[in-house]
Amino acid sequence: MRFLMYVVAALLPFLLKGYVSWLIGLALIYATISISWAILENEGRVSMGHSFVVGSSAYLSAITYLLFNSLAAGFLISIPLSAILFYILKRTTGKTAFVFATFTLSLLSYVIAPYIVIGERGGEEGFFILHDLPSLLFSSFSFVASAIVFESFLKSKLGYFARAIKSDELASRAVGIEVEKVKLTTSVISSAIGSFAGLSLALYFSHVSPEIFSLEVSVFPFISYVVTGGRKEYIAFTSIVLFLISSYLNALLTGAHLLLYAMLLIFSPKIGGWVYAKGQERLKV
Amino acid sequence: MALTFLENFFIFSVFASLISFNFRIGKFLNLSLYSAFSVGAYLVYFFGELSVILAFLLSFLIAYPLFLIKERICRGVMDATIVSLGYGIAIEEILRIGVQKGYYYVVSEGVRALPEVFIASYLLLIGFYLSPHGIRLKFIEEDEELARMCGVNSAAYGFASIFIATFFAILLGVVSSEGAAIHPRIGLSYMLAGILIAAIATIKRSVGERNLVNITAVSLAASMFLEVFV
Amino acid sequence: MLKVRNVSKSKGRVMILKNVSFDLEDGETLGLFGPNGSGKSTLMKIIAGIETPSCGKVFLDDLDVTALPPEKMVKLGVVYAFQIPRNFREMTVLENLAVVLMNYHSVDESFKLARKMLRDWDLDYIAERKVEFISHGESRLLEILKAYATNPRVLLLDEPFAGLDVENVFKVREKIERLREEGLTMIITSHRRGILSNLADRFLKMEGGKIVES
Repeated sequence: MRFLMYVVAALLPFLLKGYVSWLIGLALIYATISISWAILENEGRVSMGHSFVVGSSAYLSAITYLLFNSLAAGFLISIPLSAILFYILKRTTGKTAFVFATFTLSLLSYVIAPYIVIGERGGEEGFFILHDLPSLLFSSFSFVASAIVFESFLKSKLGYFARAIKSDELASRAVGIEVEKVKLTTSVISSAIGSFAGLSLALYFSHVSPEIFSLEVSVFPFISYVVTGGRKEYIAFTSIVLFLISSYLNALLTGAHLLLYAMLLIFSPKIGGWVYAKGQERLKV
Repeated sequence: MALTFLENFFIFSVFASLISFNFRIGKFLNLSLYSAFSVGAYLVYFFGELSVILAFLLSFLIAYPLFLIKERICRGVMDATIVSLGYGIAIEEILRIGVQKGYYYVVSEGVRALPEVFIASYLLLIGFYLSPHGIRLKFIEEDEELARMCGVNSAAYGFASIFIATFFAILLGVVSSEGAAIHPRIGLSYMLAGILIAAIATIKRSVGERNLVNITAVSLAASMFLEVFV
Repeated sequence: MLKVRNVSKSKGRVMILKNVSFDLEDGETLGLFGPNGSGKSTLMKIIAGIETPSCGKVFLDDLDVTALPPEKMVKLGVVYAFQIPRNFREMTVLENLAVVLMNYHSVDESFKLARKMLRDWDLDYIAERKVEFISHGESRLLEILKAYATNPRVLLLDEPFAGLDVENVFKVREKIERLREEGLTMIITSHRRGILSNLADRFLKMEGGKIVES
């Protein structure tokens, strides 16, 4: 059923026209970012720096495109780069410190990005990617592929091992689960999906700027997760809806969507539990 | 970032010590401090020297709700940190929607008292640690739950830490914005520097006033690094 | 089969284990008893690779396995069941067991096997319950069953009767007796010798980090 819903969501931009089509295409990219985030959450790691995964992919793709006329090179570099960085952070920090560390990483990249200049390009303006690739098709495809990977991951050995690690790392090791291998693999999968999202964003706008590393991108998956009440299997759909609502709010009043994000973050400890409890009630009915 | 070596040093050390103090006593990483800094920058733009007094009032208005939310709905460090980020974004957006126009404000006449704020914040924090409260603060730093069980009012100290951090973050915004084009996110890079410096200083695992000394040393090194390489 | 040689462990200035040595034969059940703080749990954790000794060696079939990580020890057949059950809180009882079996079987097979094992241990009535909603006795049985699911050669049961009421003590005893009848090699700790009677072939008494009676 969910698989069908993923396909329908991915087809929507092609069935609709104009701005709505463009907006849903963008929402699919944000949903892909959330999927990448949820893979880490399944292992108990709350990333507040996912803009780094997305941004580094977009930036590196743009840079390699500028230097070598190759988008793929940057994209391919960004996967191991993010994966190794996140794996190192997982190894060296506990669950709480991971939140701080990833947030700091995202802030750091946000502050440094305007200083990235190649030749006379880059800086605050960022980089342009002039291409004639079907970016909407690429975004939709990335979304469906990521969603399928995510669903398979949740039902796979790896997904179960990750959930066990989320509950208790030492107990997982004591029953023979190879924790480090699982951590590394989830980092790679999450980074690969996040990098696809980054490349999709770069292609979608034909441009990347330091804003790709912004707080909004970092907190968006977490907020989507809060709204789902912790049911990560629905995070993709929640992200699409949340993105559309925030775009509408932003159109009404610039920055209003960030106020919504702020409120959701402030009351996140309550909202998550409340939505979860309501969901449970519904399921019982 | 501030221009001179000394300015950098003052801002880094005050911000890092505030972040560290809030984290150790309030028990969360207060990510709303960057917005408090921005509030200070806007205060000085609109109110000039009066902003120092207003900073005190505003810091209570900002710190108390955050403290209440933290106490009532947060289950731990992670929750409180995420809540404080939301709080920071909310203040930032209120500034953007309520105050900021399509162009940048430039603070032409600010309040020049950065060294004084540096000295005042350090005197207050060190005085706090060396006073009879110091032993309780160190107790909370090491084990808050145990301190609470032994009758230490850790909630009151927690509020004090949030209030002091917010107050000085606003003051930093007030005294370091002269000549700057201000915007609601102006404090973000200072907070980032503060977090990194506080994290590096923590490596020595000192508590109380010793940690403040470590922060000062790391801030000095960071300012020198910026002076030489940037 | 298992040899512990001159194992010592210190934490700061405190010596928790002092020169502990003993052998464990294939199929044997060893009862390790002694007062709280005598070093029983630390010794068990060192054997299982959860803690590392300050000095000394642990051999399994003459192979030096000192300080191997716990996941490697599980692969070699040495498994530790925690004193305070550490089940996976966010999972159901069935998933808790299945996730252990997934180390050796496919996902579907693991679930099938887990159901069978829960039936065998009379725990099938809580299969779909999350572990936070099961009793301490059930939690204890699940902890032992999880360790057993790894198909161990040496099972280390740390205080399996701690905090249990009489009824649950009998239940756990019954399961341990079953494991013993299957010929499994075990070390069981308790702070009372009496509770281990008829369960162990041999006893070691620990006190102040040393073996004082064998």
